[in-house]
Amino acid sequence: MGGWFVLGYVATKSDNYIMEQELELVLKCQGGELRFFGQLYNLYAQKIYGFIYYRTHHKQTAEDLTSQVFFKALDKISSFNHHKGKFSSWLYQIAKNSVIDFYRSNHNTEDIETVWDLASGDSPERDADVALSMQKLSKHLQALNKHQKEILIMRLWDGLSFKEIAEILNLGESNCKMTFARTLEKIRTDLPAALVLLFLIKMIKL
Amino acid sequence: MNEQQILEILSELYELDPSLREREAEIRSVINQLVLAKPEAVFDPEFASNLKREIFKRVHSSASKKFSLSQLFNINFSFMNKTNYAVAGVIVLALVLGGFFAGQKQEQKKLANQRQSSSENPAAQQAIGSSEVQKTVSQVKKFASAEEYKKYLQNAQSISYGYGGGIAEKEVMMGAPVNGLSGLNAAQGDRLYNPLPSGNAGLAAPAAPADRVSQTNAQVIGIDEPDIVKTDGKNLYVSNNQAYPIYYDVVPSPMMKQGSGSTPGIMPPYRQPEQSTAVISALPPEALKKIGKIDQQGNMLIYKDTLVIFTYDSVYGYNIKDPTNPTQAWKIKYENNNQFSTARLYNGNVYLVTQSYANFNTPCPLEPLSLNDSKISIPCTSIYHPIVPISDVTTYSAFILDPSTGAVKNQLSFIGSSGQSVVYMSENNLYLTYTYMEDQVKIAFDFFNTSGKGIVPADVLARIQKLNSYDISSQAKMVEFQQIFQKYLSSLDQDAQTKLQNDMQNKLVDYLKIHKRDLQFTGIVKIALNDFSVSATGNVPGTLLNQFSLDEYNGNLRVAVNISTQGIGGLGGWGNSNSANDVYVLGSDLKTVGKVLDLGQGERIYSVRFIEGQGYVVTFKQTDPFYVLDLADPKNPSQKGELKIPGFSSYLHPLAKDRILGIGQENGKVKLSLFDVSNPSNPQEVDKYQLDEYWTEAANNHHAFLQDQKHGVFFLPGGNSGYIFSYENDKLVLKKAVSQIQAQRAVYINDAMYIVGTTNIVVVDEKTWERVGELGL
Repeated sequence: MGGWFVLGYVATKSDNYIMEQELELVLKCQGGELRFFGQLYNLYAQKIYGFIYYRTHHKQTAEDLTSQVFFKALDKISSFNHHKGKFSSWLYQIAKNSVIDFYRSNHNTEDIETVWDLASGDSPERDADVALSMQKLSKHLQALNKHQKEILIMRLWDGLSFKEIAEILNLGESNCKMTFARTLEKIRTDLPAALVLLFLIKMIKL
Repeated sequence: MNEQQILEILSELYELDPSLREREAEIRSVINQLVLAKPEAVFDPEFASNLKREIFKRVHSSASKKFSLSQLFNINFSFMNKTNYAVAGVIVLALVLGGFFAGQKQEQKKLANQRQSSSENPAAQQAIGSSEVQKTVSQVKKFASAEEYKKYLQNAQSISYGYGGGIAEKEVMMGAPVNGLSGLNAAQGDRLYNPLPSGNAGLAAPAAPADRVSQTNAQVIGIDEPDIVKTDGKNLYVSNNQAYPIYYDVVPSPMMKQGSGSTPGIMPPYRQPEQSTAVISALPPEALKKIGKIDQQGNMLIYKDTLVIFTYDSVYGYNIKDPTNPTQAWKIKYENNNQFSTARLYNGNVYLVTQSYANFNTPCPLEPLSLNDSKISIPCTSIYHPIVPISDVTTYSAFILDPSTGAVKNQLSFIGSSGQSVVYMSENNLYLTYTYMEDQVKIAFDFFNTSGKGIVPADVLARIQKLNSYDISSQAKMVEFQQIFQKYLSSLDQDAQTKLQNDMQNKLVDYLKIHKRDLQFTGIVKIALNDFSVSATGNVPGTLLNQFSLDEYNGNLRVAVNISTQGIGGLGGWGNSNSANDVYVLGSDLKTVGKVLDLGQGERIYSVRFIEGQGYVVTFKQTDPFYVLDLADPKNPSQKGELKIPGFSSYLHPLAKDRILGIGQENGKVKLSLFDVSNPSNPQEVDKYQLDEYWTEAANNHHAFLQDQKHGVFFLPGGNSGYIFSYENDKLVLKKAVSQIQAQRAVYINDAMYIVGTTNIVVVDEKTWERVGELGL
């Protein structure tokens, strides 16, 4: 018991430490010392790329949009207000808007969900191997609404905390948590009973 | 995602709802599967360093200060190596094996305890399909005391199998009797083809000066549904829920849209998100004006001088007698993990349905809501429950509220299973549904005992049979089952395992063909509006699409269901080739009196609409079969006609007598189809229109659609624009497109149509289709 407590304490402390370091970098950039932006890039480039890739499923697109996000962030870093939220949330918001913008300009829709609509003849270009695995997933996600999908993916794929998710989506943190819990429950209860047997087959294969 | 992170997620879940602990193994497996399905995002190192260089150049050109490349990128904080991506895959793989058996020890302990006191469970012994459990009439009743409630929930944790429906004892509920709930007196035939009545029969403010005011496009005429735009004929109430929040205003984007036709470099301005509802004076249309603001946002209902707003955690009543200064009249907060399910407005009453997970720690009386900070309690003796204990207990509560005070006029709770819930309200009854599954070990035993006979040896089968007879939770049984199965597997060599795996896959397909209607069910609870009591319960195989899957006509309930045989992500499976779609007609006691089976085999339902003695069902795989069902004789429903056309419709709307509009997609674009169903055995697509849009909200949310019968037109949003079509003379003619306003809804007042977007409201004159007014939000 005691061990867990100490572990938890250390983790919290180091998280705070990271946040303080990060904020210092941001404040330096805002103060005109843009060379520190490179470290923010180091911290988030891969995460932002992943965030965009999970929503576009296309390497080239994800790379283009990742570039945009960091150029925008660099240009507008002075407008970031750390009293309103975390830097990471701000960055993810830019990424989210870039993706929305991508769909808006290329597919006449701002619906990120287009990417899940694999049945559509005019679906966006995407990497072949991913398209295949996403086909299975999209069936899974079909019954979920936009928020449920977004929160699920943000928590499980992007590894964002509920605080960050709440800031990015401008929702209450407890609302995000509740939605997440209910979405998992929904998936669980929608699972037809006999599939458990198939799950066992899968288990043997592994 | 590593074990530590998954544990973190689980502990967050338990903090929210401790009862989820009971289902840890299943939840873990869902999480594992979702995590496994994550596409691999390979961050190309070459791209990474190129981008670094680009940023470096930019910084260099904008900053005069001295710096070096190494300073820019190579200063390491110790925390920068915190995450090790390379090992993530291995951890996840290990988890799939480990995670599945998580919580096993705890369950085993429970099992051991149960064994000592277990009795043979006769229902569990019945074979799937021939099972009397699903068909047996088992009554629902109310709890006699808090002790009984507690005991029931405790049992529910440990006892689990299917249960049937039955007729409830009608008892007088607590609280004041509901007055004025007489049936709807509008002529039925007329109302069905007048989905948007020109009058405002008893729903809006009596003082409304307008002759004609539209209402939200609801399923049943006269029963209003909450939505983000409402009008009382004088003012518009707009609760904008679509704003994408951002902390900055305009961002130049240097790399954007190079080579594309649009203005490069400037992103559309993003507005600061605002949790508020705007009050807009709508008359005269030329002089739209923002006159007031309410600091809450959500779907709304309007009744006389009260605007009811449903936010994610509360319900607010605002007095809008003075629309320039709306004042909060009351506030209802959801308590004890209750969540909004749905609401309706009918005959001056707000009907509210909430749901929450229940476990044996939940005390009764239940306290699902508080009104103005004082708790509303439902006594133990007002909670209905199936006589047979069930698993995955969820409590549903329904309330009748006085819109002006928020006071609860009547209420009831009942216990159902957690799962997808659909609510439908007719003039006489409120129907609530939830999905539930047949006990998994029961299915497993049945499978190995029938189609899968011989896959496992007799002694293993006997162990499974014995397990199946225990009076323990399905969860505990499943864990035990996995252990039996795993033990048997490990006794086999590699060749035998491969054989077994193939045999199982093969036989399962056969088994499912026979038993596809025995695996997943939808429970239906019928609540009579006149005395607000549960008057019947029942069930049908399969799952519902949405509220349009249910319809009451002449006392019977028609239900359209999809029987899925489809796997979920990562599981694979046998595809959906065996899926089927059925329509059931249930009598007033919710017992099946007639059915039409196997519509669109291998397809799934995309839309349903029941109109008097007929039903229309659209299923889809590649082409869109539009089925016409004759339901005039409830005992002998039949498929009358079928039409196969490309694309699919996901919303069906009766425009006029024998004319149904389908809104859906073809080749990824929005498609409108006008069906002539005057000859039910030969339905025709008399016209179609393909919009150059990829998406319309009307396809998924009927509230986004608006019909104006007087002018023979309808509205739907599409992409950023709003579209108004005429349907006269069986031709779909685009009368007006209102572009670039992110259109969401439309309402009409007199002869003006108000197109409400996230950024603007545009008013068009319905006689000339000219823009006559506009307001920025």
